[in-house]
Amino acid sequence: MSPALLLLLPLLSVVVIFFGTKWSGTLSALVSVASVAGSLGVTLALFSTDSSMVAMNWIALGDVLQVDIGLRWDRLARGMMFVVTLVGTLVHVFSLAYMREDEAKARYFGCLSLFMFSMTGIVLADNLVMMFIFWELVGVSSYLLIGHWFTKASAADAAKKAFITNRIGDFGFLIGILMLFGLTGTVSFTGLENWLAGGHAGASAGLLTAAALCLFCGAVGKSAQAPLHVWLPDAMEGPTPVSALIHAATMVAAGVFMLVRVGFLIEASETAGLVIAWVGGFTALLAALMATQQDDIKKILAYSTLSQLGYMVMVVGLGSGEAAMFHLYTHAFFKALLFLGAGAIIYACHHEQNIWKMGGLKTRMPITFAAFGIGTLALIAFPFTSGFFSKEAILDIALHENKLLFLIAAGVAFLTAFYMSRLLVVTFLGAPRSEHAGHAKEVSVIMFVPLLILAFLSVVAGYKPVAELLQAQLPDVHWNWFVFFVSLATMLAGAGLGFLRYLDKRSEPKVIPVLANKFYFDEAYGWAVRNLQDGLAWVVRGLDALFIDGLAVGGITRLTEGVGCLFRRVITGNLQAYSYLFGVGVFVLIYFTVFLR
Amino acid sequence: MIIRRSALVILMCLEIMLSAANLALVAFSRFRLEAGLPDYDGQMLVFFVITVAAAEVAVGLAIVVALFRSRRTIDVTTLTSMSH
Repeated sequence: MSPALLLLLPLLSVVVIFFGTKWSGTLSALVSVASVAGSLGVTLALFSTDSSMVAMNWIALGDVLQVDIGLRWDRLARGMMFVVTLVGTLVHVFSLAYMREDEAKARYFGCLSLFMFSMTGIVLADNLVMMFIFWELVGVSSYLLIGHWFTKASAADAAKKAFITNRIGDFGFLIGILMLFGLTGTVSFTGLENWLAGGHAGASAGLLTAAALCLFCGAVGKSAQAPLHVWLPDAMEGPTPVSALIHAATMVAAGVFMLVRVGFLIEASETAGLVIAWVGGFTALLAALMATQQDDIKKILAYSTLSQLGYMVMVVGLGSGEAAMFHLYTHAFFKALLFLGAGAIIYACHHEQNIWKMGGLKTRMPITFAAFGIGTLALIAFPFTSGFFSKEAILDIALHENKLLFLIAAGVAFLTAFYMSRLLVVTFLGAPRSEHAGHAKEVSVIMFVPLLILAFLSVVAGYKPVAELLQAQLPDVHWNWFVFFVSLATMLAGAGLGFLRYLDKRSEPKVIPVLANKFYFDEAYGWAVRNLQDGLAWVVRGLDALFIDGLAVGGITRLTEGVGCLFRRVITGNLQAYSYLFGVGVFVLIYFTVFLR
Repeated sequence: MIIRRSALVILMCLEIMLSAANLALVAFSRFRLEAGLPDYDGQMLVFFVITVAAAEVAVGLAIVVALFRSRRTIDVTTLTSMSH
């Protein structure tokens, strides 16, 4: 069995669904679930192997450029692939129930399979060009899935916003690939590693830093780091299982995965690492602050995802890809759990997403409450849950590398505990604040079984033997009592404050406008697009009208027209004039042939 | 020929031009002696020109007649419908 099977299974499912079973939603769903479960099976079966293979030589320009379609199946890919296929399988199963009454079920599952195909491609790619292709494919499938309910204007807009914002980052990614190619003459990861090991880096350290930062641009877009984070909260317009799979557990983590893949480049450049670490830390803080004032259950989780991705990016910048991947791996489980839990709640409350219209769900949905509670504990790094171990590693590395970032990370830990306890208290405790919440019932087996599996993993995934078994990257950190107490104190303070402040409240006690309005990022971007971009467009349009249309295209037509007008005067219809001109012509011809030999 | 307005007279002028050319050909052939003999190429060409001119006159007269039948005039200054 070869890792190529992992790519072929979801692709096959896409083809079968779009060309075969499109007419039947149920059949398409089964095909899709079967393919993703097959992928999970293949991943597990290939756990003990380690191989790199080149499937074909795709572009060969002499000795200048070699681009292969190749697969790299190492520990990093295995760990990531496990997360992607496992969360993917659970989300597919959950979707069976969540999307049961959807009209476009076949399209939904087809797009999910397309996403699985693209994500697998990113994980297995052995060179930057191939990764970039799948990177874009992931963007397309994300666009399709965010805009699944495209008749709703907000969903269509959110899909466009996600795609356009990602394009900005991807442009940087592409430039970075080209710079690296210009610098090293290769685009494969092994080639780049060999080039760096060969000690050529010293002479072009500046260029290398620029290239690494350009690659990071791609990650900023895909992993929704500030200032390109604006698309992720809006992406919550998509179906909730999609948010769980794509916009929490896997696709947004692709940016982090890519950074870890090219971690050797970041290690080679101190400046790039520092910039990356600060962008990550800044995003983590910004997003955590914004999360404290949101009312939409999915938006809170989205900002929380941003904040956790900020942690991962920060720790990549600080030079520990292992800690980032470890947090990615634990985060994928508990965040998918939280999103699927939120999906169950939304489903039970008849598509109500405002937490202030829920309340009292603890007794009505006990299993969901238990699962959601475990996810929350893991997210706020309650001791001896999975999130605890990975966050501990991050804090430990931040403490060693950069004290200021450690302070930020600790602050974010406090805010995380605060907004998660707010979410938990408002949603599950107290009395129901709307009719829908009062009538909510526990969801069906097919929905809560994925929740329970994820809840189980959220607890145990952080322990070393389990992580070893599941091929996760393990950071090399030592137990540090100081970090432990800081983490415990921030967590307890945040959670305690959240509980006290929001217990039995009927609405937000104090609205902080700047946080509730997400620091006015959207407004600022709207202003920039309206004024700067439209101004630029106006100037460009003017230049176009003047030079291209006015001189080049319009000039030629006017010239032809003028010459035509001139010659039209000759056509008089008068026989004598014609014969006169004919005579003149003959004389001219004779002059040329006889006298100008 | 150019200042005439009647198509018939233009045709006659054409014939006179051809006759003038024929006369020139015969005259130059007489003056261009090769081994005491005139250059007969010129005189041969005159026969061709006469033949073609006869055909041309036949066609030209037919056109003039047809023109007169449809327009009731053969004044070429009024026949300018080709310019539109």
